[in-house]
Amino acid sequence: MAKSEIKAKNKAFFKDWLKYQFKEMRKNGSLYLFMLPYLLVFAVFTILPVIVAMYFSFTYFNVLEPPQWTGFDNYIRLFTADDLFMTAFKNTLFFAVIIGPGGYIMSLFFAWLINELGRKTRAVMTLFYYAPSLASVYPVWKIIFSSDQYGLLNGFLMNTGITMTNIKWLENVDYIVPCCLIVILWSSLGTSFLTFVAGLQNVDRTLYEAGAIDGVKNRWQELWYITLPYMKPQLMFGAVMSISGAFSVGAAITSLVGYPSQDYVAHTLIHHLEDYANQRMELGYACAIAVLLFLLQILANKLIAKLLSKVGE
Amino acid sequence: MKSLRNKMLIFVLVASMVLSIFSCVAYAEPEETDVNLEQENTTDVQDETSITENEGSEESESSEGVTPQAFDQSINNEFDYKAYRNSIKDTAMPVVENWGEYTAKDAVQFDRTTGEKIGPAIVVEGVTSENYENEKYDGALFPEEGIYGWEIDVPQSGWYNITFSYMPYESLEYKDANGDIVKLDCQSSAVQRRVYIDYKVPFYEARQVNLERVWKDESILKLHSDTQNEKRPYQVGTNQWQTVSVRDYMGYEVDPFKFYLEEGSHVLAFEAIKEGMLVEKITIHQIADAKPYADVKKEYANKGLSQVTDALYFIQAEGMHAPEAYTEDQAAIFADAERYGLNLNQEIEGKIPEATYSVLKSSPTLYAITDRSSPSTVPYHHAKIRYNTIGADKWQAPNDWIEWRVNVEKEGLYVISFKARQNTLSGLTTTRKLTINGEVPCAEVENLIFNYDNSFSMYTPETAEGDTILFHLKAGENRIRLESTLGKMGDFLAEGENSLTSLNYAYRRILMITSASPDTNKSYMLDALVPDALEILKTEYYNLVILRNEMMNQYGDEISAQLTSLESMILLLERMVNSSSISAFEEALETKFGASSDPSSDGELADMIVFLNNKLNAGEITEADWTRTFATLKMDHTVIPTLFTNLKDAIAAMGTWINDMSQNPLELDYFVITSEESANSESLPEADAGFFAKLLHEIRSFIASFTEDYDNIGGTVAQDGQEPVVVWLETGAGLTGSRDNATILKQLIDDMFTAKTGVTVSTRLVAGGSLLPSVLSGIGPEVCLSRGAVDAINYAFRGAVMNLANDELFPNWREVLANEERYKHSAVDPFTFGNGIYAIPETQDFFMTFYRTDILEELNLTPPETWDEVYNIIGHLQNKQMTFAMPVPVVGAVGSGNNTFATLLYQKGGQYYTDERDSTMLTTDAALDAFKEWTEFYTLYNLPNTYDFANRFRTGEVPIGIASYSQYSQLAVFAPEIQGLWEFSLVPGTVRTDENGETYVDHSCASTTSGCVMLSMKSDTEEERERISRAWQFMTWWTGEEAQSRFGTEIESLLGAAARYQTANLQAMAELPWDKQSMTMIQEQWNWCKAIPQVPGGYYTARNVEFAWKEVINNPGVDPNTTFTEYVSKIDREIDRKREEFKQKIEQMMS
Repeated sequence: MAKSEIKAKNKAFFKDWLKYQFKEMRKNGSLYLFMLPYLLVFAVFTILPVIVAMYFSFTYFNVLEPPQWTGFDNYIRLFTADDLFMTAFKNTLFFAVIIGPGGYIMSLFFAWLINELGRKTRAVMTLFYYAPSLASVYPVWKIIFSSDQYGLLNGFLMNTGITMTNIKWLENVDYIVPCCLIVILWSSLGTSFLTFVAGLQNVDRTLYEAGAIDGVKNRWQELWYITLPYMKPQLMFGAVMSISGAFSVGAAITSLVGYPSQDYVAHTLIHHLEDYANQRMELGYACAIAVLLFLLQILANKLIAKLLSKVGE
Repeated sequence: MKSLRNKMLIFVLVASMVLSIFSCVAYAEPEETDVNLEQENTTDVQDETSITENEGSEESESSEGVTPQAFDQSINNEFDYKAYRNSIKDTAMPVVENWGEYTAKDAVQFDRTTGEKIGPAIVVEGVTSENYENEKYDGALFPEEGIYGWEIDVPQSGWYNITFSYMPYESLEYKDANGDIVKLDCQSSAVQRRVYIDYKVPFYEARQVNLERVWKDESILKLHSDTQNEKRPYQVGTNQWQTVSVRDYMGYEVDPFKFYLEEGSHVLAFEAIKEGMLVEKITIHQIADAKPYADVKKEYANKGLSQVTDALYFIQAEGMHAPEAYTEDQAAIFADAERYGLNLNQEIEGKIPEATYSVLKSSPTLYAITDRSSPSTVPYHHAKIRYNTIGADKWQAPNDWIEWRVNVEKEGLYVISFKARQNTLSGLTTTRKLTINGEVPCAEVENLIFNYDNSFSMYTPETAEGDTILFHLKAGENRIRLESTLGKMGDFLAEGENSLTSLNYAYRRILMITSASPDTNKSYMLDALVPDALEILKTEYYNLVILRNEMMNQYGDEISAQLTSLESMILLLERMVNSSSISAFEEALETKFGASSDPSSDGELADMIVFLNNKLNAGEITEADWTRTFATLKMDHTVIPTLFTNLKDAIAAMGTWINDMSQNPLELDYFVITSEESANSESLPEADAGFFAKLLHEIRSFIASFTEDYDNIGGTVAQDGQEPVVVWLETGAGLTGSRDNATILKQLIDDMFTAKTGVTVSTRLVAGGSLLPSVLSGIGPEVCLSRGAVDAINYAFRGAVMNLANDELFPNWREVLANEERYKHSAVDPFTFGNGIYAIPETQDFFMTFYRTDILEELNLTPPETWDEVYNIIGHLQNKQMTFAMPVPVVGAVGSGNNTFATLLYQKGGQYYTDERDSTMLTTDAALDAFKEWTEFYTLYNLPNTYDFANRFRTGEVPIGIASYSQYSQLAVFAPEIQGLWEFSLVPGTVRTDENGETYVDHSCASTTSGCVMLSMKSDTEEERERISRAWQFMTWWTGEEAQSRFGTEIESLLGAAARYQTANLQAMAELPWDKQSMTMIQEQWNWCKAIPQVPGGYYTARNVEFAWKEVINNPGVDPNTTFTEYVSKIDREIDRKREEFKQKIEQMMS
């Protein structure tokens, strides 16, 4: 076939396709109407900012003066001239690898655990587990990890004679990261936990009976072959939430160890971004970091989707 | 106590012996007269001498006197009023006719060091007070410095009250000896004096006596013409003659103090701590107890007084409102002129209703406040601001009073009903003392009790039998006053305070052995080393158990919610009791009283103690037996170290508890003066609104919240098409960023700025962090207040703020920014870069050294002048397990430790940046030295690196430390129990040699400044220039003396003394209510202040200096020099990078 022919054919096809789509849309017009408010908000407050940030990442923009186009300068500087970026990148990956899967597995585990409880107890337990992610709980942990001898943990350790002097949990480079991990993991039973609880409730009871007849031997098999495959949409949603949460830890660390943390040991990409955006007022550069973080999250999500497709196999 | 009593007796004996010998000589000596004295005064002195001699010959055989001696400054906090009362066995309270008034003419000034009379006090004649037009008095001037008093002659030994008739003047003019007019202005705080009897402070509480100033609203409450919100009138001081008896400023001792005066001559002197006053006279007399109502009722009958039947006065407790402030319904009752003026005196009725009553108060914090919880509060509006009540948490300090001067038409007997509410202290009652025309009308109203309730209710004073109490009001003006008093609570708190002092002492005794965090595995042998401390712990355990029991009996079980701190202290002490001795104690009780009568069979120690105490009180057991029984109880000295840190926390908690419990809040809406009949009838409005009225109120306010603009503070009055200057305040930005402050600011603008200049200003309170985005999107303000130096300069690099050092646009900028009388260099420097200045300073903060005089005296130390002395002191303190405090960086607030480093750096002659500001100068010897010294405080001297200064200063664990000077007002409010026991002085200095080879002490210290900036605007057209000049006009006014001092005063009256404004304006600073000595210290330190300059990338300096510091103190053995150099190189790299970024801009700014 000649090139032009193919082109014409494609064009015709495309035209038909458009027509078909348009027809479908008209048929389901009311549904689109229902979606419209959300779509608008999503476009204005999520898609547009992402695009704008991408644009700014190629400029020099000091917030108060108009941006100047600088091409890939920001990215080049990011990878070649910014030693802090590498620290932040490394820390972020470290936090993400532990908190993402850690939080995810914990959510699933606890959801599964309380799933067996009675209706009312379950509601109460759900609240208990979910509460830490609702309120800002960090001040409580600051008392626990307080550096002087009146801190709860220090007090306990010194009273029991395990340590003799107070340990500066949130100032000593060796302890900052573990402390942050504990607190973040503790408060990570968030939205994904709730979806899991709901997902577990939705599993069709009859499937378990069928499974029992088909030879499911124990609870683990039941979980792996019936429960989890049945709640794959929730699992996917939870994973997306966990990953984006894990990559954007920042607020928790700031409120625990201050900002920036001693010697940047708990400096994440979010901190780095805020540092440039708020303190140094280099918004173009900060956008470049944000774009990288965004790409990183997409990549991680793709990876998770791949992994999740293996569930139940 | 015993030894003290002996000392006192010996003193008195010796004194009288010596005096009798020298008295003739003393009187024979000619008076030293001051050069400025009026002729008249000199004759007065002669008169006085002759009078004294006459009296001496009449009333006592030999004329006695007290030898002049140095005033004894030492204050012993163990020897309190209770101990003083107990130390003297004589209980006579003589009433001596025709004796005891000492007038202004007789007042003399004493020399502090010799105790000699310097000369008579200046007498200002015929001073009228504002609301007493007919009463004129002569007053002796007791200025804000010096010791003034009288030589008195007591005809009969006994206990006496001392009552002042004084005027805490606001401003005063008088003619001096040369006929020149002298003008005196006072600041706005209460008058404080220290009492000396015969050159000694008689007891601890007498170290400070407060004589309140009198305040009032400047005008009635008016509506803002634009927003229809009510405006809060300013609080202004007034000249008023007052009569106040010397009493406890803490309020624990409810009755005025009694002083013991022996027969013969004495010197009664008052040392100025704060503020000046005029004294008309002092009276030494007996204050009679108020009579019970039954007697008063009989007196009424004797005098032929009867009830007034057709009277009904509503008095808004917060003051008069404009008639428009009322809703229609309420106006019908409360503001309708007919009803309002129904029974008013005809002459007065002719004027506006303003004349019908006025409100005076003892503190400017007692201003009208808003209550919108119920539609029945008068006046009411569902959305607009109405200042409709007074008091609440502003009226909780003991001795604070509000006085209403009410005109009634007819003399007669009236009922007074208060619409009041106490909704803060659940389970507790609030007490007020009611006085009418300066007297407590009957014993029943000495302690008027208001119960805890969530809504307002009417309180009509009644007798215990339920009779409504009638009050005698005369025709014309009557002074009705409610005064905050602790009532019974005062006794409890005084006991608690005593226990606390003892526990603190015991704590310090044990601390000296064990250190603040004892090794729990070690035996300290406390029983052998500090048996007294253990004994105190035991006794105080006993006392606190009894105290708790008494409080429960007084207030019922509901109070237990308020007793948690006391409770935990008791539990803690109980854990320190030796458990085996408890059973011994139980046995002792059983053998004493028999097992059957013992209620404590369940083994509760506290119950046993209450049981024992009851027996003692009932007289069933002698004191000796009691001692023997109680001695069986023992403390466990091995447990104490393990619970020691808890003890410290419990002491701090109990201190706070006592402070909290001495709060006595009451909120008043209005009160009614009427006859008994109408008080009981239904014609009075309901105090509380019904359910549906409340529901409607909530709905209406909710709907109104969509239309009311709450951001736009106070509205703007447009003026002939002129655009207002838009001023922003970010919430949380410094002192100015709160709604209250913004409201004050707006009001000052309206009254002082717009009214004078015609320039309108729109003030907006915006969320923190809004400035940057708003500038970006071009909707920013013209002026933004309270910006830090980092912000101002960062904006400047990006061309977002105006350079104020611009001759073209701001021709008078030098008068503002280069004016040595207005700002120190250190205030302007942080906003300076190159040739530009980018903000006008508002506030400035810096360090001072705070020290506890009592503890330093105890340890025989003097406050340090140099760092070398500090090192010496640290050694002494650490020997006693106490320590010194250096300000440390706060976790989470990077850069907060920077000032400490800068202080050391500047004293060593170092500086942060080169003069071109293109790189740091932190690798110089001076900088490395400073850094090393800074870290050594922690690595070598082991100072605490996290601590709460106020709390540790209060317990005495850190008797000396460096802190921001704002701590002064914090401590004054937060720790009233150590008032008078601490002072502040310059930060320790470094001895240096100047170019002439002379040595001097360099007290340099870093300061932090905030200021207001003008956002960049075009200046091409005439109109635009006009706009800039309006903004400039506003900024110069706002940072000027008048506005700053007024703002400082207003904010302090609004939020209390803890919120003292740290203005950077030197002239305004002088107007703030600091006492003279503190002010001198602040001024001196201020001279030494140096700014931390700003450079592009400067945020990196603070951050890395702190990183370096933490690295060194967290890792012992790390070399400070190399560490610091390493971090400094990072700073230099960032500065280079930033300079590259702003290359052009910086060149432009430097040129």
